[in-house]
Amino acid sequence: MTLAVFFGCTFIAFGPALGLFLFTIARDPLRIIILIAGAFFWLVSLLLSSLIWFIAVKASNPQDEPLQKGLLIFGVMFSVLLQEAFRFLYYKLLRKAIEGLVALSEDGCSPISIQQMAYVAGVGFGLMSGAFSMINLLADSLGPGTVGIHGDSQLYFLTSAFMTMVLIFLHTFWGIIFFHGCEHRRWWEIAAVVIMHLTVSGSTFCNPLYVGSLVPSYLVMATAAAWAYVLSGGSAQNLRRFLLCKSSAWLWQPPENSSGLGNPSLLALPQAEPK
Amino acid sequence: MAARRAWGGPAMAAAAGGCWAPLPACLRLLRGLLLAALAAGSCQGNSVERKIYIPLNKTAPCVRLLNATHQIGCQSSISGDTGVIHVVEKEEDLSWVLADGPHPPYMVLLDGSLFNRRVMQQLKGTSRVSGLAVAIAKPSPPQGFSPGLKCPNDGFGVYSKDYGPQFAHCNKTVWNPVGSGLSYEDFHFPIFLLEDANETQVIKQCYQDHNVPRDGSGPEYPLCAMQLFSHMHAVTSTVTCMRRSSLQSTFSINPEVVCDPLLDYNVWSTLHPINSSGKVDPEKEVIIVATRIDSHSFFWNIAPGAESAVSSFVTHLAAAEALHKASDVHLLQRNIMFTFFQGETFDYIGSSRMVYDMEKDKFPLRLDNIHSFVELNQVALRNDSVLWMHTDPVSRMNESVDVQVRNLLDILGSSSLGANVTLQEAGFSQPLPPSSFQRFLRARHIPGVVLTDHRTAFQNRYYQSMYDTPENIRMQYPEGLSPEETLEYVTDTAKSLAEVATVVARALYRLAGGANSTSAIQADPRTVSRMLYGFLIKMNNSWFQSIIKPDLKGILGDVPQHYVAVSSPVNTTYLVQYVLANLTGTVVNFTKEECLNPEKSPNSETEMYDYAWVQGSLDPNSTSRVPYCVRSTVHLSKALSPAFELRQWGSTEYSTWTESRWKEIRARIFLVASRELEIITLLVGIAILVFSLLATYFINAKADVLFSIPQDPGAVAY
Amino acid sequence: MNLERVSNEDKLELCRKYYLGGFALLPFLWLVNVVWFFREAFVVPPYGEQPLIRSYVRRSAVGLGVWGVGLGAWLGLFQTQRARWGAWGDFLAFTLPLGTP
Repeated sequence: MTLAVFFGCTFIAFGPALGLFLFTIARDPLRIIILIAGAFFWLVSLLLSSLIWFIAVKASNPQDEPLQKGLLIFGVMFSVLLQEAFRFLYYKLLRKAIEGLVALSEDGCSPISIQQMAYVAGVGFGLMSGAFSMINLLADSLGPGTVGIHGDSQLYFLTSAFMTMVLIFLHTFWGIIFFHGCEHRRWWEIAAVVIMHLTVSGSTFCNPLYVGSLVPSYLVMATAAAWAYVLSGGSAQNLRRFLLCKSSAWLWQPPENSSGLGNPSLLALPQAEPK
Repeated sequence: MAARRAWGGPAMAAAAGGCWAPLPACLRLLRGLLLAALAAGSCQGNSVERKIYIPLNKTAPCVRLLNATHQIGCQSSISGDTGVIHVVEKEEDLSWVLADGPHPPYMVLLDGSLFNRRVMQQLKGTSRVSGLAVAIAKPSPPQGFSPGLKCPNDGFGVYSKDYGPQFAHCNKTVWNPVGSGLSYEDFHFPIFLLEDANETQVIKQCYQDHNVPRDGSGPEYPLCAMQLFSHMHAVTSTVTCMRRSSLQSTFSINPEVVCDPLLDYNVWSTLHPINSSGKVDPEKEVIIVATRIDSHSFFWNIAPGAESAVSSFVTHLAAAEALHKASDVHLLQRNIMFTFFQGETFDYIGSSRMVYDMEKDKFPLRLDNIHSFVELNQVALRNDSVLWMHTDPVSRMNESVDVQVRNLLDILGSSSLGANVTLQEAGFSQPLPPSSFQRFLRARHIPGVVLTDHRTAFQNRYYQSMYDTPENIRMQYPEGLSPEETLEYVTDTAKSLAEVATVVARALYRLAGGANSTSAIQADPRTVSRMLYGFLIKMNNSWFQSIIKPDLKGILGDVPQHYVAVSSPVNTTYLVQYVLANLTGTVVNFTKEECLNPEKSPNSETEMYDYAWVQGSLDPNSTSRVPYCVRSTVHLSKALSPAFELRQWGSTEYSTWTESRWKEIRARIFLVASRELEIITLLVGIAILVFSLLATYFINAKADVLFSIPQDPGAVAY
Repeated sequence: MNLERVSNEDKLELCRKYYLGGFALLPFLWLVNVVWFFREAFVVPPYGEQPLIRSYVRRSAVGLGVWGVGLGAWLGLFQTQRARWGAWGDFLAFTLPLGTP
């Protein structure tokens, strides 16, 4: 569908991720490393889950439609579980990495906290997931044709782009919630992330009834966003202050809503660097 | 994880290294898995692409051909031409394309009956047409259709302002009055032929669903569109494209050749064997029998050529077989050379090259050796079983030539007694029709005759078109026959051509000095019928399979067509060679090694004979074949225009036809969205990008407001 | 090379070398001269060698301008007229577009 659609869909799908990367990750090399490693972990989980699905499909009868549909559903669910398993593995790895960083640092403090790592890992997962969802669509969107000759919906590219955007956000928030749950041994947070992921992936089976997949996904994203915000030290009061453009001079008050562990600022820049 | 194809068939080729902790077992396992994944995965078609495009597989393009001064054919832009489809089934539909339609440019789907000069001139003159797809008309247009010239091969025959000017440029007789000259026009948009009626129906259905105006208003987006790719590399003329190709070949590291000359091989065989690498004595006289074996149409590689080529060379092959069966051929005074010229459609490539080789002593024979010349042109559509004999009136003004021509005509006339063929002279007022004989006449005044089924204009109303099919020569088979039965069934056309072949064979026998009765010389209608079936309907039949070499099985795959092409030899040349070898050669008792290397055996006389190890026929109850060795006098001689040997690319004396090169030729249909939707998508994308950049910037700048820092400001991490 | 650490005589010598080098059909040396020594010639407070450096920079700019106009004219002419030159156009061209005259 030509260049206009190509750029439009690219910006829709990857615009917010680009903003997150440019302003919060790009300046710190350590965060870039964690981002790329996180993307790689997601890639490996996709490799394994697609291998399983591929073997299952090749071993089955290609003419049997309900079986193929069932295999697809199984494949998607298996992939979700495998991705969350790799998220856990990555958490374990990053935990070990923090010990190493503490040992290497001059003042005994790690230059980056586990919450910051959680956020960056989430963005890494999201970016790689978005790339795999969107790149081949973008490549085909450069040609002169649009989807529809076999009766599919014309809005295929647009809805895919919006779905990719919401998925990148979701992975970011799930990273924060998941790592928080692992850190504080709150297994129900981990379970909630897995259930949310399964819900969103499952809702895509409603396609091409796009309202059935996009609306629930955006609702889940709003929920996850609020939850992650609260877990990162946010509160309704902070939000009001931000929106009313107040300054940060009042932050020395004992925060009434802070979570029990006092999180440092998630997105703040070099505050956390070793002196 | 969305349920979309993003993680489909092939497994990803990720770098190895899943486990962080250096456990060797883990690494080995992962490596093994990766290898299995890479080995198992095979790339299928991209499924998003399959959602968007429907490829059209059974199409034939119109390609660009060039000669010394012009380019003909069609050209598309380098990334294909796209247009909204409009189906034109009657002339009134054209006005939508030319003036009324609101979404130019259009890709016209033209009904075959409207593919004529008038419509094409209209389409050529407008910029609202981005391409054309022609649906082949079934049945063939009754008024005739010929995209060839009215005066074929004009300027390259014998008649010019210096020789018989009253006959030059078809002043006296227009040979192809139905000819529109469409093949020789230059179009700036691509033109494709839709061969498959099912694909045409798919396109028409898409048009009906999306492009037809409803309720008086214009059709709305999304619209059904088609894209045709046929970008040609050569431009302007042969002079330009050959110059550019030779510059590239000389100076460039990675040469980009843009065109190739049309070339192939002539097939020739003699009744008595001659030394193909030596020279024949000037006293030995040879009678040349000639036919052409190629044809052409508007579209590339579509040239059924039933009446224009196949009928004549099949008759020629049958006559050769009949002659070889005569008992006393080795006693004949004169030799007979059966010659099959390739490339005659394009200004006599094969015959001009043979004349050139004869003049320059590169061919075993010289022009002095030629006693007379008999040519068979289109012979299948005889009216009242009359076969016309054409001679050249200008050369006959010479007394000695006239005597020999008269002798030739008498022998032919006497050979037709008893056969259902009436030979009549075309007369002194008629020039020769376009024939290979004209090239020989240019060099020497040889007595000769051209046999055709027409006196003035062609009987063939589909000369050099895609409609010159078996139906044109009235080949009919009864219903319900299996391929084997169809191969063996003798049609009326075959019987009629066999009679012509009998007359020709008998006449040749007499011409060569044979004194005995000719009643035993008979062409076999079954052979003629099998050849017609093989060359016109199905090349992959049991007879052809049994007479070719084992490594040439691949040439029997396609629908038969006879375009000369640029890669040689083409299927037709191979098959004519092997059929001739089978019909005129002898089976010798050689083993496979002896047959493939005959120079090692004594008495094999490799300069005189050609040895071929052929597959043989299938045993009735087994799957293996019984191959054998065939010895024949069949040879190939290069049919490349002398203009390319002499590097005179602008020559007006020899044929200079070349064919352009190209990268890809394909066609596909899809839906296009409106420009407004595309711009909206872009604007939404830009808006989201800008908004998210701004939001992220502000959230980051005010992060300390949004996220409460802990009570102990020093504790940054655990 | 950081010009601030170079003595004035060396700067003059460098500028002169680039200026003279440009005459060997090397207009890019003049371009470098103009760009690199512009600050030295016109912006920095005057010093002994500056007038000479200034003259070299000016002359380099003139030479550069002439080359620019010449090359630009030839490029424009070639791009627009090559198709009409037939054989000579093909001999002069290094690479030719496919499918267009």
